[in-house]
Amino acid sequence: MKKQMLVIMSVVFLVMLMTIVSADYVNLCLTRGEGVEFSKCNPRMEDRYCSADTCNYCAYIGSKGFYCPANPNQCNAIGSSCTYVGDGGDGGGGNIDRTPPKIGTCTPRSDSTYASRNQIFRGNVDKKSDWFYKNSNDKKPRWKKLCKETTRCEKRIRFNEGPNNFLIKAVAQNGASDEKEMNFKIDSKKPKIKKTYPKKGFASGTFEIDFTESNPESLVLHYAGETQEVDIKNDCRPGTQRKTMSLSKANGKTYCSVDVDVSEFDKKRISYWFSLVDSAGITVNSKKIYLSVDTSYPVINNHPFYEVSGKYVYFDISITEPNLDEVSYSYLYKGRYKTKKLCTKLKNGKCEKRVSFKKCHHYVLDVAVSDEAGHAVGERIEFGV
Amino acid sequence: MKKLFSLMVMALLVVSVVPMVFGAGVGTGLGGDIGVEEFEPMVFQCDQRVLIDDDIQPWRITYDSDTTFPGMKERNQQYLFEGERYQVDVLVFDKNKIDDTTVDLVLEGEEVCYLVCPVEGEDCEEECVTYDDFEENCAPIGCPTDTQRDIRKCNVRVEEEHITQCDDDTMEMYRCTIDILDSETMYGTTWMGVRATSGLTGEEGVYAEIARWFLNPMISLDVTGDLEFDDVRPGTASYSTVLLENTAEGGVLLDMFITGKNWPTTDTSPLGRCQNVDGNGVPIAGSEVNYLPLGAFRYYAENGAYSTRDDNIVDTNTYDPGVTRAKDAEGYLNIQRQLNDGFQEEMFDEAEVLGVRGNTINGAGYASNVLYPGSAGMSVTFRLELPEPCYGNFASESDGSIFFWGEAI
Repeated sequence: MKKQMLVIMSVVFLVMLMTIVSADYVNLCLTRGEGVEFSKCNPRMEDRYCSADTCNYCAYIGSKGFYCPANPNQCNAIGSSCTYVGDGGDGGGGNIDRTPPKIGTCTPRSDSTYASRNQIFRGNVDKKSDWFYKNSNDKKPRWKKLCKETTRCEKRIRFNEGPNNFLIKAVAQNGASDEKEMNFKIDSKKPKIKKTYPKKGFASGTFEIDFTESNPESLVLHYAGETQEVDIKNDCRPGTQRKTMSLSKANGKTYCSVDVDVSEFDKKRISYWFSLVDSAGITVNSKKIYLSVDTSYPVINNHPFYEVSGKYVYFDISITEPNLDEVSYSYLYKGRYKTKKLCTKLKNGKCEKRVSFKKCHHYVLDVAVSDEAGHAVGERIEFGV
Repeated sequence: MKKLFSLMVMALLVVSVVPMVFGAGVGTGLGGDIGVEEFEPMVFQCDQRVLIDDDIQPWRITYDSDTTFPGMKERNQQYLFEGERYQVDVLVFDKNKIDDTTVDLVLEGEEVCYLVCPVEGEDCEEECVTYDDFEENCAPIGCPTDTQRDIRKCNVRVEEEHITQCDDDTMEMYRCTIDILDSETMYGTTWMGVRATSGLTGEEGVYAEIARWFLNPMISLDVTGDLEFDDVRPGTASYSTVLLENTAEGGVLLDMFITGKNWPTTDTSPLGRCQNVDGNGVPIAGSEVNYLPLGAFRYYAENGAYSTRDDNIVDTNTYDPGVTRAKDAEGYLNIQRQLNDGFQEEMFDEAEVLGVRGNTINGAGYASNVLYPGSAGMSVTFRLELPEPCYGNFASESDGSIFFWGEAI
């Protein structure tokens, strides 16, 4: 009985021993681009990808069900023929890698604007890949290599001024790839404020600005401790105060005019300036200008204020305006519009002037009284000489 | 009763007084503390240090039954595979007490760092892991007593003291053995050493001869190129080159071999048919076959200063008695037939890709036949001399008709 037990135990031991030592070795044959995620067998291992026509690994299926590398002599000994993994199967191990890489977060970020053309591209991907990029806004867009066989790519790139449609491609060692599109703007030119109006004197409530910036984000008027956001879309136009231009020719030159109510500061002294922010977040401020506020219009007190005598017309206009700019008249003569000054100062509240006109002609004159704040009143008169 | 009680009280008094009487005396008492040094056990590597093959696929000169010089004599690089055994004898010296000292062979895990890249939201982060140590108890084998285990080979020194006699109260010799497990369990670079720990004090000592090893390195034999011969005219020679590369880790050398099979016809009607040739490509008169005979193929290989033009292996026909290894005038070698499924030791010499006698490596192999990792590879150009007459199409068998065998040394 004792002997029988011994025999049985020996057999069991032998069988157990056989189980331990007889791993099933396979000659894993990969073709170009295919990979084995050996890291699933043992996290210390790197995944391997085939960069030749065929790559032969001796492997066995480990306790987690994944291929683990083995000494090729083990496969040689049993003459294991190729286990190909390229036909969709995984040959038994679950770690044949055919999945494409996935690109994670990248910078420059989409829908952002950057103030410099030189930006550092940073991206990561979940498996070692070659990195390529293409800028659709280039004159000749084509794929350019960025980084080689890495999960983390970091490289300085010089982008185009303005919008950039930037494509990133990661090609993993198994040949599969992932792409990511990024749309962002480069605005490396600082905004410039050329002029603001009024330059000096009096403020009536109308403020103007000439600036150069292709991507204005916001324009704010600061006056008398108040602020007013300028509606760039409606209150601005391409060009300058003096000249309206087409958008294509303006090259960022923009003129804006904004009206604010400064009546509560009438006859007081205030300051104003504009602050302009571009889409890259760069802010520039205009020079602070001090002005006196004048919100009242000139008043012509007498009617009629002229007499015709021969070829002369005598103007005697009584005016109420403390900050007179000028009194002028305009008329159409032989198809041309003529403007002439009558007074720039008042004497005892009056503008008196004798003006001669050519005989045998009927005149229609627009007489205008304007103050230094830009307010003006006018009256049309007609007479024959 | 009262008397009895009185006597008992007296007796108790006497007993309680006696020590006081003894404690009194004249003289000076000397006190003090004695501290014994907590000795750090010392470990000395001692003579025998061997690598032993698993004997599944021994290389040319591996015989673990060799008692005078056992082990894998061909291994010149610091890597070990599953099933292989590292064994070293050490002498441990513990002045506190040797009996309570434990001795282990330790594989110390190295820190490995890798990038973890979440797909969305965050940047990649480097994570470092220090893998657990592997420890294997060493077996005590007593004090060295004979010339085989001579204590003088251990060079036991405690500062200036040179110890030449083994005291079995404080010294013991141990045999430390570690069997390398599979790659799932043991992988990568590791520092190997022997550590002794005092059970009394917890003090530890490690021997000086620690060494770095690569366990279970990954090996890939890569082939670039194919044997493509299109529209070949019978009686002419065509050439096709393939590149063999060893992309192993840990500097593993591959000893290269080549065997082949006949190439069956892929035609069904009529079957492809060729003049039969022998292993040297010489036509066999009156014999036509429905396959392309292996003998129609020869190859030329280069590896460094050597090419098959220099091949001078003498074929003893131990593996394939039907094909005698021979190069032709152009320096092209014929190919041994693949006789069985697996690699066989008989292929040594006969089926080497490129062997030049005298140019040895690792004790017995041919240096010219070794494919080094990280090298430009070994280019092998095949020449097909298509027999005449011949017609049809031929393709390699499903598992291939030309076999390259890379044996890890």
